[in-house]
Amino acid sequence: MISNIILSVAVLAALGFILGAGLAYAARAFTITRDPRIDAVLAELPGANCGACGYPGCSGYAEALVTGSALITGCPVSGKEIGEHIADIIGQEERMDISSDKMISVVKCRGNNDTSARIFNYSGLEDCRAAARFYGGPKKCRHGCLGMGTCIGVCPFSAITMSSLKLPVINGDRCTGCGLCVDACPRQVMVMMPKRAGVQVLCNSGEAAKIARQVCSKSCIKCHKCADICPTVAISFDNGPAKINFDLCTGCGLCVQKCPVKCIYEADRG
Amino acid sequence: MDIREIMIVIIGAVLINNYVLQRFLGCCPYLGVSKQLETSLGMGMAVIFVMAIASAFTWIVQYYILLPLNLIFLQTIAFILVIAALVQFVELVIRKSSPVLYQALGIYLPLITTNCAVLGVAVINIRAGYSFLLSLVNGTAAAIGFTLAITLMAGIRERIELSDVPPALRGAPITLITAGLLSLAFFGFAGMVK
Repeated sequence: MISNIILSVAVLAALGFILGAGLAYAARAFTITRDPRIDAVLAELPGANCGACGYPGCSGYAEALVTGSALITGCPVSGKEIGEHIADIIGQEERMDISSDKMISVVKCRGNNDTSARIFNYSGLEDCRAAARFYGGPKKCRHGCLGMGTCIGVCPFSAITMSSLKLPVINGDRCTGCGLCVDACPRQVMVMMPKRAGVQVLCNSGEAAKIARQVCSKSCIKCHKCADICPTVAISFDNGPAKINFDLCTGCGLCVQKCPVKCIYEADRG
Repeated sequence: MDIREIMIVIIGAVLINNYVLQRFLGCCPYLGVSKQLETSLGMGMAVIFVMAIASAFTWIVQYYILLPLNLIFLQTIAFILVIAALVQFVELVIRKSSPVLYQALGIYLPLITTNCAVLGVAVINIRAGYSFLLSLVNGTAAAIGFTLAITLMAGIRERIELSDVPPALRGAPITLITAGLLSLAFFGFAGMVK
């Protein structure tokens, strides 16, 4: 009887000791030595954890920067100044001017409550993703903005507001180009465009003229008038609405005047 | 040891006697970590890893320490000891190798320590008299069953998030009802293998 008790204690103690020793060894073998520069870089980054760099949050990106697997230019949110600070910390040369090709998001649709036709009254959850799942949403146009503000909810920089006619408006100064709204939009209406873009085609529909006319008064009808008048041949059509090549576009605004449905806009987003 | 026996153990543990949906073991992480598909998959992977190793180690402890020394009554405490140490080990490894997964699992990783599913699979292995290989197979299959259940649940819950649930049922109630229905659906597998 007594021997049984002693044996149990001994066995459990031995087992515990072996496992404990194993854990102690593992704790040493798997220790994480954290580079102090990571915290320094993290303090410089915007801290919005938007994930636009492709890393899990700012801390993940800071770590990648310090280990050298990411470039300073990977963060579309932080400007040149922050980039220089970080370069000082980690000693990495900036390889590209961040501000030159600053991208911001643009609502590629003008189909608000006035201009765009509806097929039913939607009274469900006020969320574009939910609405898009419900028979493709209430709007007749299958490509346009659903106007329920999912993009507003995901924007960490409060750069998006909703107009009175239910169309998101982007504050170009606040938008950092993180692209979260682009991912959240179920209609791919949010697109990234260079901030310097002179003119923008604000229609997402690739439908033929006949259908486009029926669903929305602001829909691109693929008439090619803009492409014909463009002096630098910057506008093309490939199975979609007019597309502007921003490398060629000079922002002269001839297409804006020529467009019969007025779906091309000067970049101040009127 | 033939393939047929192994297949029966696998199908039994994954579908027929699913540890979560039929034996109701491991319900805590099943309801706790099933809000998002991604984290639930991570949890499933951690459980697969832990259960497979736990099955192997507890089998060794049972047949090479407890049985020869006639200390079967120490089974529960010895198994818990082994499992707790293993989970600690897995936690260390994950923290080192995948900080993202470590962050995602948060407090749920230590919860596997006292997860009844892990202890359950260890005890059931012994009760059923499985050999070492079959124990390993059963442990892995049980964990795969757990992963299956938790990912199914997470997928459903992601849809529920967007649905119009009556106010009284929002949150835990609708989750429990869903779990019940899912479990009921798995009863359809009963009797698949004679």
